[in-house]
Amino acid sequence: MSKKKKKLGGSDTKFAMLLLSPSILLLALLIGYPLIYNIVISCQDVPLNPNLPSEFIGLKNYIEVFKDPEFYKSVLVTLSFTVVVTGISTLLGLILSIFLNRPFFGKKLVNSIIILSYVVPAVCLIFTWRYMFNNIYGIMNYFVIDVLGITDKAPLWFDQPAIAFILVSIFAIWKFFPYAYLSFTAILQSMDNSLYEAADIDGATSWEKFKVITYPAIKPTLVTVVSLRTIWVFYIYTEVYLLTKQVNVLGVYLYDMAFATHDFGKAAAISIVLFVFIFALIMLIRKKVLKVEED
Amino acid sequence: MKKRLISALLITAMTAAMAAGCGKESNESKGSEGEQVKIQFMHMQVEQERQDAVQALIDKFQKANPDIIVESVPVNEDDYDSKIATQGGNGELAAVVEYSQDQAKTSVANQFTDVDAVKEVIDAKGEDAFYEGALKVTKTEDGASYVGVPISSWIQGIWVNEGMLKEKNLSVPTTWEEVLAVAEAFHDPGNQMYGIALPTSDSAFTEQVFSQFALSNGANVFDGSKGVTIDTPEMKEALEYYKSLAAFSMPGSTEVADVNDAFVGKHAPMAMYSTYILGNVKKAGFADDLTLVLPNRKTEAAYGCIIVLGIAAGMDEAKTEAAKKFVSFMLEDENNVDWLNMAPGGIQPVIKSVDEMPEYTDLEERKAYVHMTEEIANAVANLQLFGAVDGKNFTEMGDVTNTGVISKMINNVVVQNADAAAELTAAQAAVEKLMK
Repeated sequence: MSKKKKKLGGSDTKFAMLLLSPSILLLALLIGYPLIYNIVISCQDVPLNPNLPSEFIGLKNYIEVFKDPEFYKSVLVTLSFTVVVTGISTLLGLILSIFLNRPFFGKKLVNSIIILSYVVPAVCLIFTWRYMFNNIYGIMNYFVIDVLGITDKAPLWFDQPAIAFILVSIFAIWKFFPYAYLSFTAILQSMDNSLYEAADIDGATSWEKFKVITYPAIKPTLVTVVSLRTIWVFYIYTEVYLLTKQVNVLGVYLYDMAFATHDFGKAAAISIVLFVFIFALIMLIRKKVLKVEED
Repeated sequence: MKKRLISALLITAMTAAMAAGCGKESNESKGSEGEQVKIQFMHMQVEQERQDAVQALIDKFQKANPDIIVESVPVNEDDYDSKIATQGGNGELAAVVEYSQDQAKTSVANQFTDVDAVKEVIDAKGEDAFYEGALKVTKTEDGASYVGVPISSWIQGIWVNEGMLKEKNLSVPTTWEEVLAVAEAFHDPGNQMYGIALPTSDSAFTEQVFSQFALSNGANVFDGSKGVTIDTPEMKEALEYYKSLAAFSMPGSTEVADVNDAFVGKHAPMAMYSTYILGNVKKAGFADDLTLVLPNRKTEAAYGCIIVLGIAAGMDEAKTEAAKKFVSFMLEDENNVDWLNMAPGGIQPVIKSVDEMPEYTDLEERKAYVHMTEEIANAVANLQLFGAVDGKNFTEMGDVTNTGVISKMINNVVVQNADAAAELTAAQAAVEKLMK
């Protein structure tokens, strides 16, 4: 009997592999090939023209990247930006989803307003912000000088690195928090309300209800939201590049390397380093959360 | 068993479909349609009316050459460099590409341009047919060919609203000191009035404008033997002057739109801009008050851009011949006028005979600037560029511009208040590293 089972299992595995083969082939083509090609060119001096020969230079591109002080500055800025944006946008989404997870008049309208920043094309929002904070005629100058009277000379908003970092962070949080809000709302709406009613009867506080009922339910979603948002924010480019030249995140550093200096070999080396870094970071986050879950 | 068979068939079909999707493009879509040769023309004319003008030229060409199909590929200016890099990097660059001279230099340095084909087109037209200045700045580094076929140009200088100056009894400035004095006399930011509209952002526009002040003071990025000469007393003097002049401009990092809006809206009596401002000034109704002067210290220096058409390298003979035919067609006087009339006043001719054609001179939109013909001609005569020195035209200047070393230096000094000497030293080191 066991022999027959083993035989059947082996056959099923083969058939399962056959069924999976198109997906595996697709993954190999779409992910495996570019990844390997990227590793190859990261060890080469690559000319822009594909008809010219590339020169194998070993680890020179990696050494140059690690010797470049701008790379470390960029890593620091990106890490700070990722922590701030991912942390606050997730927290804001979570708080709002809990707070609004009840029936009230105009709920649909409120939901629509909340997700507006997420669904409007980024470029429209970016140029609106640029007009708002324009040094000459921006409406923020009017508020700061004429309405609030905080100062008689408006700051150069996107020109000062510290202010630019704060503004870009606020922009990213505002743009991205609806994703967390929608993810958490979906889970909260599917939860059985009787759990909260039972907790109320037992005299549980709001914090206790969150800790014992809400948090265990949303934890898998929380891990996914944090993981995905960390990856997306870590590689952010468009929003930062179009808003200011004073926040040199890794996406901008990488773009400049590839398209301003046309050094594709070094750009590939940077992307490999970043891949390893972000992969390790995500694994660490998942491991920590899963460990807590097991405990 | 039957289910497994169906599953296996489905898998085979999916895999085959994927493999088909990964296949190469058919010859028909890539090159020829029957006996016809298909080529692409990539250009920066994205506005609808300009796209229509380009398409009209293509239609006319195709009517005369039924064996050639030309596909118009308009690309936004901001995406142009990365488009050239990605298409060139994939070996899929359009057969004919509109370039600025800097982009053309970069393309030649990367062997994207068939310089022999370019030379053949220019020789067929005759070098004498072009203005000398247009050919001078488009020569390849060895002087044997050209980085592209000149088709039009634009010129940049200090535009002065003489009417505003008269109201304050000021005369048109001609020297660095006079420009500064006029700017100071008008500067009143509390009332949204600025002395001069200057670009200060980390952009190619800022480098272009600054280059005029540097070159007028005898400073260049390279010397005759391609040595880097950024960290020099002349360049420092120009940078410090630019900072003092920018103090009378709008606050912060200003860009093309800021400069244009300030001058056209009469918030500044002077602006550094290209001939593309002419159309907006006419609409604003003060074209008659307009004067063009050039930064002048040791010499006058205009910045200008010669627009060229490049012919892609590595194509088969039929496509190269088709591209040559199309570029030659664009040089014919009546077709060149149609190209120039896309932006009357903005772009200027590079072919001598076109300057006298009634279709060019009598265009209603151009008549408003007839009084400036001499000033524009003077600017063309004083055309100077970073990287063009002692009759040599170094292609590496395209890379220097692309990296933004110069514009970053200017932005750091003018907007971020960084030390000029330190920034010059850093820029010198960055360009020296790039040259290695």
